[in-house]
Amino acid sequence: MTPVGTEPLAPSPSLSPDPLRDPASYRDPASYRDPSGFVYRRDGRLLRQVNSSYAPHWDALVERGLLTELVDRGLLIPHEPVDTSLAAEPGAHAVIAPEPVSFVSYPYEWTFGELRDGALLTLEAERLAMEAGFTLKDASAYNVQFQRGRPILIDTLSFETAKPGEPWIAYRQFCQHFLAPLALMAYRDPRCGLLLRDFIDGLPLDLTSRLLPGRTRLNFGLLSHIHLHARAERRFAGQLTGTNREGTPAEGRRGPRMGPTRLAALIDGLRRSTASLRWEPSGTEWADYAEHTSYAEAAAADKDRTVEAMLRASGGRRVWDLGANTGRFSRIAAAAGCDVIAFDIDPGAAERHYRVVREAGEEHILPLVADIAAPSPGLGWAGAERRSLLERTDADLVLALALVHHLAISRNVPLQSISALFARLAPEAIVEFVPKADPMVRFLLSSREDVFPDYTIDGFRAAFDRDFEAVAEVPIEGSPRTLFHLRRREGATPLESPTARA
Amino acid sequence: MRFVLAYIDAGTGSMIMQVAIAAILAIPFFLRNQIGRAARFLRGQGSPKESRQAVDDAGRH
Repeated sequence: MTPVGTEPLAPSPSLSPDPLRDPASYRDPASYRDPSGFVYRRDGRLLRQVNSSYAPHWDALVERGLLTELVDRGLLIPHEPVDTSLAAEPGAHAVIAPEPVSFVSYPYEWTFGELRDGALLTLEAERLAMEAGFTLKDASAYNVQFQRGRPILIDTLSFETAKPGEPWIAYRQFCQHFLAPLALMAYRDPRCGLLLRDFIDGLPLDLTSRLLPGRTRLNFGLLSHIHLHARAERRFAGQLTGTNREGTPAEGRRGPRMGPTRLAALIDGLRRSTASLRWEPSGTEWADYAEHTSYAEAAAADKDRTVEAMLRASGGRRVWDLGANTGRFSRIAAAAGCDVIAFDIDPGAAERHYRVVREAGEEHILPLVADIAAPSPGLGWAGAERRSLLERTDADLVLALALVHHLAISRNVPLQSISALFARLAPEAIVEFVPKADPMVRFLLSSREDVFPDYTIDGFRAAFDRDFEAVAEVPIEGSPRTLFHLRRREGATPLESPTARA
Repeated sequence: MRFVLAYIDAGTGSMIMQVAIAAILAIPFFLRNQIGRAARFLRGQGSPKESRQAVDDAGRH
C-alpha cells in the first residue's frame, strides 16, 4: 500500500444523497457518522474519501503496515489507493477504492453464529491493532459484512493511533452491538436478534440486563460486561470523566486510565465471554424440517435433479433462495456455479445452514434470517441508512421451493401478490406448487377453515401468468407437487407495488 | 485533567467499568500468558496461531 498523492483537488460534481435517484453517483446514506471520511459511489465505482482531519492516523496506519497486515490475514476488506481527483468533497487527504461487498446484510438478519463470528473478528482486529500501537475507535456490528462466506471488517477508517493509558473507546459499543444481543439469543431466544432492528445503535444494556435470566449473574463475563456495566451507566449518567457528580472539574481527579496489559486482558476477557456463548439450534419451528419432510427418497432425488436442470437452463448467477431451510437447494445452486443468498424465517434452520456452510468453507452461500412476508424495512436516518431487503435485491433468479403454500395458506397472502413480489425480486423464478392433496398442506389446513378456493394448480397458473411466462412445468415423480421455471414477461414492471393493482 | 472524547459517546460509566473489569481480568490473563509462554518454550514451539485461524477456532461450535 502506498500513500496517495496530494495534488490539488479537481472540482468534483456534487453527489446525489439519494441512491435511488442516481444509482451511479451518490454518497452512501449510512456513511455520515465518522468525520474521518465517508463512502460514496462515483460513476458506479465504490470509493472512500479519507478526510484531512484523519491524515495523521491514516499515514501512520499505512507506514506501519497495520492495514496491509489485517488485509493479508483476511480480517479487513482489501482496497486500492486511487487518485485524489476522484474525491467527492474538498478536504480529502486520500481516496481509496475498497473491494465491493457482494451483498450487504445487516446484523438483525444474521444467525447467532454469524453475529458471534462478527464479534470475534472485531476483537481479533482490536488485539492486532493494540499490538501495533493502534485501536479500533468504534466496534459497530455494521462495520462487519460477509464476503465469500466469511465475516470481514469493511470500515478501513475505524483504526486510529492509540493514546497511551486510554481505555477502549469502543467498549460500550461492542457490548451493545454484539455481546448484549448474543447473550439474549443464547439465554432467552434466538429471535432476540431481531431487537437490533429497533435499536440500530445497539441494545441498551439496562434493557438487556432486565431481559436476561437471573442465572446469567453467575457468569462473570455477563455479570461484568452486561449487568454491572448497565448499573455503572445508570450511576454515572450525565457525568464526564474527571469531574464530580455535579459535572464540575474535580481537583486531582483524572479520567480512567489503564495500561496495555489490562487493556489486553479486557479484550481477551471479552473474547472468552463471546466465544463461551452457545446456542444449539433445535426445537425451533423449522430447524428439523429437512429431517421430517414428507418427501419420499425417490421424489426428493427427482426434485433435486429437476431443480438443478432448471438452474442450469436459466443461466442466472445470483440466486435468492427463499425459505432455504438448512440449504439443500442452496448447495445445489452453488454447485451449479451460482452465488446464493439463502433466507429462512427460522433462526434455527438458518443457523444450521450457516454451520454447514462454515464447516465446508463454502464461499458462495450466505444464509440469513428473514421473513419474506415481512422483509427488513429501511431503517435509521430518513429510513435510508440501512436499506430495506427488497431494495437490496440484485438477484437473477428466485428459488421458492416448498414456500408458496406457507405464504398462501399460513400467511393468507394472495397468489397474485406472491407472483408480483417474485417478479419484483428477479427476472426468473423456480417455484414449487404444493397442492391441497399434499400432506403438508393438509396439515396446514387441519386447524383452520379452508378459505382458499383459488389455491389450485390452475389458480396458481392464472395468478403467475400475469407476471411470468412458464419456461417449464415439471411434476415431481412420486409426489403431487409441481415445479415451475418462470421467466418475467417483457414489459412487466418489477418495481410496481403488489397492492397497486387492486 | 483528562477527558476521554471520541466521535462516539464512550460513556463515563462504561469507561469506569471497563477499568475495574480489566483490573480483575489482568491477573489471570498475566498468569495464563506466562504459563503459555513457558509451555511453548518447553515444547519448542514458536508463535501463536494466525489470526484468521484463531477467529475460526474461537467461533467453532
